[in-house]
Amino acid sequence: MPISALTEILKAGADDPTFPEVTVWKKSHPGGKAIGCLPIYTPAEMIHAAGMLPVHLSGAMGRLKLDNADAYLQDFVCSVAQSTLELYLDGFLENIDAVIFPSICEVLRGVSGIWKRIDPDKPIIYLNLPQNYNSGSASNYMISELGRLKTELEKISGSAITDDALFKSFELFNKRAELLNKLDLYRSDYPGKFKASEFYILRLAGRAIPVEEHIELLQEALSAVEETQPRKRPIARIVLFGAFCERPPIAMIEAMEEERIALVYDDLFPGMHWSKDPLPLAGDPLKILADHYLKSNLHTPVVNHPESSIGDAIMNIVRARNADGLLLATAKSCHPMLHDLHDIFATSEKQGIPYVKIEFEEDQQVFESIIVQIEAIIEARERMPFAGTDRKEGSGDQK
Amino acid sequence: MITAGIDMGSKTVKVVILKDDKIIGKAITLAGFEAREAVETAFAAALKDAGISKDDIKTIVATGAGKKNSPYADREITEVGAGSKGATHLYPGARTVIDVGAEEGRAIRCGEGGKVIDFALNEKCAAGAGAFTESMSRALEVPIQDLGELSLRSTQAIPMNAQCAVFAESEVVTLVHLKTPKEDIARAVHDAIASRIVSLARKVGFEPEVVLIGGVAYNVGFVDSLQRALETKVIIPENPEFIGAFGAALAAMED
Repeated sequence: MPISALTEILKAGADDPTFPEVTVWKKSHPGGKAIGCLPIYTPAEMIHAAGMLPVHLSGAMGRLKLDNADAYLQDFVCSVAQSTLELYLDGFLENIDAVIFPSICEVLRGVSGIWKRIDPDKPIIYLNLPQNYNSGSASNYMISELGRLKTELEKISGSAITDDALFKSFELFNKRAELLNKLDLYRSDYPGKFKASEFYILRLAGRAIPVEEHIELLQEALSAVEETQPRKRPIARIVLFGAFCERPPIAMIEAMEEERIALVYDDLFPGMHWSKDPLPLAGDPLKILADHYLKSNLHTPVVNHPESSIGDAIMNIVRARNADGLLLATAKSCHPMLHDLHDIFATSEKQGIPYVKIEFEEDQQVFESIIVQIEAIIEARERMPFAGTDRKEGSGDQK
Repeated sequence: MITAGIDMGSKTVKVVILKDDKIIGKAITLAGFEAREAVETAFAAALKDAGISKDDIKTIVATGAGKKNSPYADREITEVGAGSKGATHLYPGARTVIDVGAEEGRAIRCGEGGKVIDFALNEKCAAGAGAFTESMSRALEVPIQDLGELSLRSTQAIPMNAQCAVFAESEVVTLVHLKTPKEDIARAVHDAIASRIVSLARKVGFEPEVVLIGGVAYNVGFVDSLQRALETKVIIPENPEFIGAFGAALAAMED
């Protein structure tokens, strides 16, 4: 089966706000608990090791009208906060037994408080993540927070999380990360065979299924990609950066690709491949998880790498992926991203990397303005070709 | 070589026919609901104006909001690219092109030979486009063609704070109730649009020469507000609403 056929099947359920995957899992795991994980990073390995199902919650991708969350949140709050709360208020998360809120921004901190007030009996865990990776106390602080999370999860599951169970989970999550990394590189090396929108759907499909099933799906996808005949070769290679707590509509990514641009990198699901390095399978599991988090080279506006700017990090990605330019997609009202934009613009201009900045919302239906901006930058490139586009010879893509 | 450019704008369709780089025919018609039919009508009128048949045209390039649905077109070019190409062909020293049409405003910074260096669009905000002046002229019960001249007679600047056309209309209604002279309200409307457009121009780092294209360039009140806000003179080409189609036709000559 070609990859497009596989992802077309998955697409229908990828943003289903009813989370049918959780219902199916609970039927086959009587008494099993599902734990909601807010963006962008939660140690899902620990939830898995507790015998529970991690469920990535990240808004409703435009599938809900925000009739109830409006009563709790101001208009200038980002869509992902509003629609995740809407999911809860509308009863779509009744199958979710507890929710973890990582400390990424003040808005989600506020939502965690609202969540708690709505139903004081529903467990929520606020996970304080270190903001400064280089601080001498970051590791110990993270270990203590992970210890607290472990205790809370043990209370919810009713059984201890053993080191053995953690290492078994690490092994599985390493396998998934390896497959995701392979697919990530594949769409960069062979953009005419495997699109970013297809990769996006594959990641969305893993939002609420057991990691074991996601691994099988990714393996199937990898085989499908290899069997796929090259499609028309893209005319520009673009890095998409958006610090994506908020998931843009799949249609938005597809609309970009219809203009024959290849999104050769994206950070659409940062929590799912937090680090390129595998988790070690021996040692203190909490320290391993803490190091995994702190040593990630993933830059997002909600963490602080004092030794390197986010602008430099993104430009390094643009060069590593042999890209022609940068597409900055900022979620409307995402304040952490706004803080970092100046650095990204300035670095981009200093290094001569062309960029377009667009703003999106998860319920956006019309992408005309976004497309015009992308088309315009491609037109400008055609007058003075960038270095990257034609370097990838032998990719197998049709010209 | 004979080429044609079609600008399928949100309100009007413009067609320009070039022989080498000289305009030999042009036509404009309202886009309406059936924009494809509007293109056919405008195209037929432009052919008649040029005294040629469609078969005489080597390449046709479309631009504008509806460009993907344009009949006849061999390919498309963005509004940004077409505006830049058209304006800089006429004024090679142009470094900033401001294009204000019915539904959208944009600022383009150009380099040598019309190369687009940067651009900014007035997204999701009708307060920076021609449709806003039309709704304001209705609110003031002044024909749209008189709104510009009216605002030039203003004796005081009134701030208009609304960030969108709908709320701005409410502000206009309030000003009307306060018996504010119509000419001052008209100037406030033009100042508000100019303010939006200037923020786009500053975003791209505008520098002279500045060329203003699009149908709103006919509005002398807006031009006055824009020049004051930019603190520089703007160049307005003859037939400013046709510059996008002209740029598309020039692009066709490159094929």
